[in-house]
Amino acid sequence: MIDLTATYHGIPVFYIVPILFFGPILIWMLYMMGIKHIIYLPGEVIAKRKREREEREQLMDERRKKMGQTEKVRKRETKYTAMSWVGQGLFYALFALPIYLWSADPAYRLTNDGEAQIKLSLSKPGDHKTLCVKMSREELRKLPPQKRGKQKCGRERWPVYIEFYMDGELLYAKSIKPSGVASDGPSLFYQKFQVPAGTHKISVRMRETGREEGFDSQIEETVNLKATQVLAVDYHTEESRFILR
Amino acid sequence: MRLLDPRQCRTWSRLRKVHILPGKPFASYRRCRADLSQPRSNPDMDPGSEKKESLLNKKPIRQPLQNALLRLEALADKPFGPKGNPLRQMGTISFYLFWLVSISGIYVYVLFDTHVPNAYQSVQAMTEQWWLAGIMRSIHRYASDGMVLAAVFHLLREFLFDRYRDARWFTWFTGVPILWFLLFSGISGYWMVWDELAQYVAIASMEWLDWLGIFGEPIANNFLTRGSLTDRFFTLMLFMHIFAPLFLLAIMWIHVLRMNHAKINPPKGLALGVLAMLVVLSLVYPATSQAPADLGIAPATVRLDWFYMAFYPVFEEYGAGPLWIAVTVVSVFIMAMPWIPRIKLPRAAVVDLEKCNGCTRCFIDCPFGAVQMQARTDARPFEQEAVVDISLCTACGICVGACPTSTPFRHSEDLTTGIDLPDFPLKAMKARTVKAMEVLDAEATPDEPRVVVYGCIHGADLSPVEGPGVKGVTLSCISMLPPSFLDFALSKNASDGVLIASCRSCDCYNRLGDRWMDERLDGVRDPYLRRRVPRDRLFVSYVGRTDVDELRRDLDEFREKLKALPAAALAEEEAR
Ligand code: HEM
Ligand code: SF4
Ligand code: SF4
Repeated sequence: MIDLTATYHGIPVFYIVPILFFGPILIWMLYMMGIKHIIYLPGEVIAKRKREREEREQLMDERRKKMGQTEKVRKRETKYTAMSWVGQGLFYALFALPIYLWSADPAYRLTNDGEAQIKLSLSKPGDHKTLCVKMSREELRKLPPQKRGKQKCGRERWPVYIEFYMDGELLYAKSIKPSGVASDGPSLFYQKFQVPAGTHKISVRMRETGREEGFDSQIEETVNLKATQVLAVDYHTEESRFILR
Repeated sequence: MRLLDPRQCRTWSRLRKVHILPGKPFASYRRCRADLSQPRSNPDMDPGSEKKESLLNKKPIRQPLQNALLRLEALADKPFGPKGNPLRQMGTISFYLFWLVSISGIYVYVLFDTHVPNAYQSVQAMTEQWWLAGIMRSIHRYASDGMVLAAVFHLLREFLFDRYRDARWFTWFTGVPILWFLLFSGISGYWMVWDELAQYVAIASMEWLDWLGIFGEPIANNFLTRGSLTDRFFTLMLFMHIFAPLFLLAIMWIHVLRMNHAKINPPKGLALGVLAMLVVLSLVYPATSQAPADLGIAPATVRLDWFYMAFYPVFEEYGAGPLWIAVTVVSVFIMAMPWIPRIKLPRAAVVDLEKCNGCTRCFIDCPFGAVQMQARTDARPFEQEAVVDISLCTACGICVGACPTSTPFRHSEDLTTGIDLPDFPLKAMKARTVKAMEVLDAEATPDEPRVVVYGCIHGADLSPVEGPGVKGVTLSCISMLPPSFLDFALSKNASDGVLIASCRSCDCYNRLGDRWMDERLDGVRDPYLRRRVPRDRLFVSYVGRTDVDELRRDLDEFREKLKALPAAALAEEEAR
């Protein structure tokens, strides 16, 4: 991917890329909307257009003069008085009023007072369901050369099962299916919890090997949460452990 | 010589030709020409039937709302004048606000810093320069809010006036993606400020999107902890905020593409007024940021922009799934509205090649782009001929009024025209005019002037003003009336005056009827009213459906005026 935050001759790339990318689209659209008639015309066409336009206007003028009497046909046009300016002002105020009232108000209460938030997030591949097996010679010969590995591995993974306790109470338990069409991707998980502020004992346990009992990894910690604080509980795959942040 | 440039209409037909847009390509237009086998589909919508009531008048819910809106608009007509009435210009105002948002957007983009730690401060700095950057920032926000307001008003208005079914489905249908992109543009804009609101809205939006499970790793993880949000992701968010309005513009363009002579700019006075309103609002109530974002903190309250974020409380209360379902159901429902139920229009206009000389007037004047010109298919010595696409025609009859061959000065037996409505042909229009004149003649008292009133099924009902000396003829649109009919109605000395009950300015149900009629009377649009027609025996009254009293007043005034006129025509005849 292009590094958008880099600079090119002192100009940040993120200024240039949108212009390069969307500029042509915008120009095409303006072109289709009729700008082309203005930009790309040879001189004689412009002159011809101008002549035509003038002729047209002249003709209309002549016609208007000839008709002469049309204003009799119609009721008078609107006359603007002081009152109409006041009236217009009122209508504009009526338009501005909802914007004034609702563009940043009323405030919306997301959480109760004295609550903290715990975000539990996970991107963890479960173990493969089947262990890899060594392939026999026959099997290897049937495969095209570039595919001849030593082992045959099933791609499907176990779901990841997760439990979340706070102060000894089970708040959440879920078995998360692996992502991907062939169920071969990591199990993905994201969940928010609102909890009262204060000191809590938190524990998260996870099993990823398809076993029925016990856990493959867990964390237990006492945290002191202030109101509106966010605590992220995240699994670090590289370090194979949960991290509280 | 032609008065208008038919090139105006070409983009649409070219796009149709290459199948970019829905509709039939040119080649198959011809098959639409004679579709007379169908039975008359809806006598209610047809001015030819003697029924006075139009389909619109039978809506139990819509009609009172429609009346209320008409009254409100009449109120706004007073200060603004009918042509500058903002309530009838909400579509053009939305367009105009889009340009204002774009211009102010480019300005704030130049001052904006896309590095996460600096973004908030760079926006804050704009507000501190209250006299320029601050105003730009506020206009950027308030014009966006105004756009939602104007678009929703415009939507409701098109609905209330039933201008969204049949041939108009396309315009209505494309309005829904406009709403999506409009909302997304605004929401993504609020991310840029990177304050508490931005943080909440960004996280909630990402959680909402994550529910779909199509992004692999949850994108909400980009906001997990302090320092999670990278410049790269933030720049991506900025991209979305530039992307979305460009898509919005593209759809807005498609939205009006199908219409002929679409009006996308408000009148100058209105444009200035809206700008002034925004500047005043920006000075009185400058747009400000909330506290800087901090991913380590979940704010307990946020001040939402309710124009764009009214959905977030729904998300908080019911969760992502129900909100997705609600959004889908509401969108699909609105998109399907043109078909629930369908409106049954009278049959489409039909071209008679015997009469059509390929003058292109119907093509230029048709408000719905339903007429196309193509190479001549018969042996007559003209270059082009008109063809009608039945899927676009609303049977408004404006083309009939535009065709130079539509004239009543011929024997009724061969009264055909180049383009005609099968369910209310020129012949019927003449027959009803003649009948009106006969009745007037029979009922007339010597000192009461006799007036023929032409009206439209969508405008003021003529029956309450009819009586001795006044007879109405209702058409499907006031511009269905060829100006030669005015000549006709006055020349036979069966009437002393003609009153044209046009709709309120810029309020034509068929979009352009009032405008074309005005221009024909002014002599600047073909076919124009002949000079010999005495103008003081004509009167145009701009009245909507609820303006029967005003129509009556205008009529009385007109008849008073007529009384004062020397009975020139009568005198001539007596002298003979
Ligand atoms: C930013 C949003 C929008 C803009 C800028 C916009 C603009 C316009 C404009 C300029 C016209 C042409 C008016 C004319 O010349 O007669 C129009 C017509 C129309 N719009 Fe919109 N519009 C918007 C949103 C919507 C939405 C959300 C809907 C409905 C879902 C909608 C439905 C219609 C319909 C049905 C017409 C056709 C009226 C007719 O054929 O008589 N519009 N719009
Ligand atoms: S009847 Fe109206 S919509 Fe149909 S072709 Fe004529 S002008 Fe166009
Ligand atoms: S206005 Fe009449 S004569 Fe002219 S192109 Fe249309 S149908 Fe033919």
